[in-house]
Amino acid sequence: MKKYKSIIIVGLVSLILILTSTMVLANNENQISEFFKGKEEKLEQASNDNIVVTSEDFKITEKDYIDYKENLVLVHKLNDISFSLQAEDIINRMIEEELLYSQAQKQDIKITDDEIKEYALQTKKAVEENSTPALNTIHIELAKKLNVSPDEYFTHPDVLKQYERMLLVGKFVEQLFDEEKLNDNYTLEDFKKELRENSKNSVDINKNLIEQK
Amino acid sequence: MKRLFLTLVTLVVVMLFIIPPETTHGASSKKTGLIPIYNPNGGGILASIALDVWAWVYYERPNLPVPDYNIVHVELETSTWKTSFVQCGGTMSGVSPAKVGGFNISLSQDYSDFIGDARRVYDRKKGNNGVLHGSYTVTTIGSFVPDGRSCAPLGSTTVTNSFSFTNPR
Repeated sequence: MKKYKSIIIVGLVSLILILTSTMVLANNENQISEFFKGKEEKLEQASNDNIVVTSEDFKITEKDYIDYKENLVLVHKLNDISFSLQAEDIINRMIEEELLYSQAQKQDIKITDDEIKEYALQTKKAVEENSTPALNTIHIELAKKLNVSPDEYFTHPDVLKQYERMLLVGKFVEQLFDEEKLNDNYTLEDFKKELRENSKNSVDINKNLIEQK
Repeated sequence: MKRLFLTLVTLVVVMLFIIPPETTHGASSKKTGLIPIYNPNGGGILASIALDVWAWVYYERPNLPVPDYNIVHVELETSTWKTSFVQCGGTMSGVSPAKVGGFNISLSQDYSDFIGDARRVYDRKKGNNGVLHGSYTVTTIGSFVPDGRSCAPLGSTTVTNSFSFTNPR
């Protein structure tokens, strides 16, 4: 009788542990799904007609700002870091990325369709090789947003455009290192900051729009 | 006697400076691991950082008239793939201890190349592990630590490179 009691107790403890870990995993996936739902609601309330940043080469809309901010929130959550960025920090980052991209576009750098396709396939492979519940949930949510299947996500035109931009900026940065314009003492972060400083007079920021977001 | 002594000294000097130690490259192995990243720019699984982990093993037989021994060098080099590092600040490193023949070896910093280089960041470490004859396995691990404020890795950020090496002496 005592023997059976121990077996039952061990069995019950194991079941509780399995159920608890399943619940924790499901909870994480639910949190991610809730995040994307919340982000969509915030984006619906934002407008592309409200311009937060205007410059000669680019503009940043209220929708762009909310999208980027919410993505940063998710990044911090996934890394278990508390989010404490102020609106000014966020908009400065966005401006720096746009300025870097604008500079890259002005160079004589070509990105071929094959390069973009290769990168898309590599990223797809990375997802397949690293399958986790959190990654799968994010993948499904991103595909849902574009109205495609998870498999079709990587070759959706919007996603390919992102990859093209990334590859262009990447090649530009490589060029800067090859020309020794970037090095140990003058990093990419320094370069982006300087770009922003130099563009202060040509970039208009509507702070009222972002301070309440 | 004096002549013999001078001859011996000359021989040692010649062996030290003119005849280099016999070095043979044993084996090298490169392993590429892919890490999906959630990136706030555009919001999505944008960049996949591929971690290249190279390991070289070779033995070196000193030329001095000392008891025969071999030095087994293990060098580990990590870098990121193509331009994906630009999208996600962070650091590359080699994890120590590595394993040689089932034993842990500590890799000491040799030099770091291109710190902050968005294209590639090397962390080269070298370790000597004395005499190791015959065949054994060499295991090294490369690790990527992202800048948590810029992007979030969605998979394992380490890549293990394991291969066999035969030391013929």
